Amino acid sequence: MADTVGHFWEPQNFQDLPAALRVVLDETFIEEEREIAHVLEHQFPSGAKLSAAGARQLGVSSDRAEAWGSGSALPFKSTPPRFARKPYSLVYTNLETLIWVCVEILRVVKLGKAMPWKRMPWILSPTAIVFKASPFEDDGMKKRIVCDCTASGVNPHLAEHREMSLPTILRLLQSMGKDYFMAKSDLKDLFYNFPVRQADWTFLGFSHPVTGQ
Amino acid sequence: MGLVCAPSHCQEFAKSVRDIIKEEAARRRLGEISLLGLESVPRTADQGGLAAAESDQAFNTEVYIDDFQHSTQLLQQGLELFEIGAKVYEILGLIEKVVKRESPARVMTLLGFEFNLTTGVLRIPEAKAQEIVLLIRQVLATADEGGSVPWSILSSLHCKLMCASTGIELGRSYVSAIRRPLDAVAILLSNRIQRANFLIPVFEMYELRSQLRW
Repeated sequence: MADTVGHFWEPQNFQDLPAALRVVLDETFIEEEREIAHVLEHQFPSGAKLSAAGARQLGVSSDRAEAWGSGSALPFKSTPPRFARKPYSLVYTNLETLIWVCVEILRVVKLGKAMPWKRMPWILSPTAIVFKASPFEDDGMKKRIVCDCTASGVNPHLAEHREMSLPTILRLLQSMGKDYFMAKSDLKDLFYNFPVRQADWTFLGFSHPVTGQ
Repeated sequence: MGLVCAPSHCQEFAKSVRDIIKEEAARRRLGEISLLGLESVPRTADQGGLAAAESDQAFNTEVYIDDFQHSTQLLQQGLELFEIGAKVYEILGLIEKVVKRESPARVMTLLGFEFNLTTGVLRIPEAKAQEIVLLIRQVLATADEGGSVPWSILSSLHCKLMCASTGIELGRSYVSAIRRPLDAVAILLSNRIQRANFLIPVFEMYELRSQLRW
């Protein structure tokens, strides 16, 4: 793990960049240091919160609880060939967009859902960003980084997954009677909650648009 | 992350969490002992809570990826189910987005639709409906002037109508006439700039225009 997790940049490398960007990079460096220390000590990222013991306590089957605790294997049908690509050009559209991308990556590092590597992972998917209007964000805009796993060849090498059906609006309505009450709860960053087994981390690489980490 | 297996993985996970909540609710209705950790959520049978429910139909929980929706006959049942959910998330180590939490009510917006369980009306919220109508008018006005619209705009209209059609019958022809020209060139457009710059000559697409007018 010590050969893998770590960073290869320092804030001084970016002294000439605009101050607004430097502030984000400084904080990113501190958070990366913290995350590196955590991973080296515990062998898993600080954001691995899903509790296998809690799942067992609530009656989840032991194999499923085990997968929730130690991480699942990515369902590859064959190993994707090596791939590395820098972030898409749209993340460099202007300084504002670039800062948004850096802030979003910083958020993910702070959450302990991403860690810096000092060696090249097997797959480095190109990074992009998507925006969505959201009344729940301070500036009214939700920003999410996206790693293009189709472009990098990860998705084409994954086994066919089972068809899934989401409940439709009409099904939701059918489950409710007249004068019923509805309540709603939402989980934070659900997609980041599934631990992937350590052997497969190398297929989920992406790079920082400024530091290249 | 953009992994194709992620949505089904998430939904499967979410269903497991939903089942834990539903099973606990059923246990309470039958007067059985709660699972360890869930016994701290108070049972309020005397106030019409889950233990007082006459049948399993009095309450239900559904999930849409990360969005849990509880429906109950009585307010107290809703509150209890809600608290069970919160406790389950806590035990599993999941974090609830508190700002999006909505306590039991008879009118609520779910998946972009407004449900009113007193009147039984399901409708697209006014602002969203106006947005769709405005977009349709813009496309038609452009077509009447002999103009073209960017692929991204027509795609946006298609997505909005698709979403609306999941709950309200629009007539599928609406969607298919718009979909055809989008599909024809989608493979050629690999980034946002190309999608914004590629113009679709809607002025010569009579079927699309007549259906949007309808």
